[in-house]
Amino acid sequence: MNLTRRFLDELTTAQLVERLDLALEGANLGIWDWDLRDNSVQFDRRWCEMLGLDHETTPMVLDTWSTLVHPDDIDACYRDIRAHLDGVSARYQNVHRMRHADGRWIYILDRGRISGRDEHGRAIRFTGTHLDVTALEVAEQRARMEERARLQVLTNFSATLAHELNTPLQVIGLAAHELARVVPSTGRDGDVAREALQAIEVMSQRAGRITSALRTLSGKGGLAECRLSDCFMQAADLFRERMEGDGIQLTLADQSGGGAVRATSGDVLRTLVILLDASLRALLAGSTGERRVDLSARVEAGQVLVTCSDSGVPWPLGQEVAGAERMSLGPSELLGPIVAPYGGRIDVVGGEARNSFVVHVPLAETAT
Amino acid sequence: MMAANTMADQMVVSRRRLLIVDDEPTLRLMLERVLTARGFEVHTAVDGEDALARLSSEHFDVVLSDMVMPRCDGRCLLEAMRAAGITVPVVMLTGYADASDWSLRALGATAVLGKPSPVDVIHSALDVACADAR
Repeated sequence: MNLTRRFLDELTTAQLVERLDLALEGANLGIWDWDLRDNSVQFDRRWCEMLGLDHETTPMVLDTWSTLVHPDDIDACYRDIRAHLDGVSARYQNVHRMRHADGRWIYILDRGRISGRDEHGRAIRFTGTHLDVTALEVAEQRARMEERARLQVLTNFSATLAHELNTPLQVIGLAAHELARVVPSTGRDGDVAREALQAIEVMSQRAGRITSALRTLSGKGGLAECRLSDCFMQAADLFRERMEGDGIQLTLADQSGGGAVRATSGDVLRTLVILLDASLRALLAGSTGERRVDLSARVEAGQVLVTCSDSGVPWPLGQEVAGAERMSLGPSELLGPIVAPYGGRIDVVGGEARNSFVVHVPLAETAT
Repeated sequence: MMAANTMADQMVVSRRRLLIVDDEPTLRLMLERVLTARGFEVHTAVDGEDALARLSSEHFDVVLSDMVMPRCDGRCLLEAMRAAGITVPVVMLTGYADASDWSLRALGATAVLGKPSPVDVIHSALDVACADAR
């Protein structure tokens, strides 16, 4: 600290300005300095060049900035500026699109803070920086599109997989049934054969339910009244085997009394799958006492309430979970976009070493 | 179970004619075996076009058809039957559509079953289709 102070003391003002300029240039930052009393703004050379403007001829007024901001973004800019001026936020920050002189839209990370006040404490000066983040924004948009494309491929693959497995499963079921008809009705060989055939029939039916759930999950089909009980069975078909294999008890309690929500069956099943997957991951990360997941549904005040609770590590999952896992989205973030269009919401209820997520969705009769 | 057996016994007597339409030979064969044992007189077609030719010249009591097939699929078959005024009940057995696929029902399918369906479900759907046609 003392070394820094001594270093700065030894610099002349001109040297300081030069070094600051080098730092700003190195960081590709443009500077704006807004006088709130008359809306004049000093834009520096880099600010202008970022937008393809000539520094010598650029009017140093607020309108220069505001007329170049994308019309869809300007309200959010002023809202964020107001929030800082009112003391709601410690500093102003906003990413918005601005029209470059060559006609394209560029993304600007705009940051600033109050830099001067009058004798009454009123803000009179507001100073900040512009950074061109177009490349970053475009990369993020591309990543989001790629994520959507990957999900689409997985969805299509689920549907194809389900379809391709259905015919072989149908043949296996029929063949087992046909063999059962001709197996000797007495003797040890007959008993063994019947047991084996029954196992084939039961397992092919279970596999059939899984392919049916995969088909539902792949999201074909439009809005309809979905009974919770049907989706509960499908969700259980997808998870029960896995959970039991890990020593986790899955209990289902459908107390919706045949309650239905008006939604695509794919969305309802996706919701249940996300809840159960979150519980499974929390339990695999660690648990306190009994390893169990409880999925229940009930109707309350015109809403269907689906609750999924587990005795696993509380969300967000703790340090003992691998880094990549902690980076992934939690159930609330994943479920929000699915249930919001139906007027639904998610409550997170913690405590007593249990995770509990409650999804509220309007009953079919009351949904709009 | 007793009721089903009784119905099966009656069918042996009546020998209703069933046309199975599926492009998968193994499935065709297994359905033929199981439903012959159930008392149907079973005939087969490899796709919708083949089925339509049979339906235009022969009498059938019920059709059990796949959905996805080359040349003329299940939907094409239903549309062609309707256009030709053929009113034989059709049970669809499909790996694609949901069992509640209303568009197939709107085209005249008596029932839409998902693959794989248990044998007793297929039996019931065919029994109901035949009963409704009477």
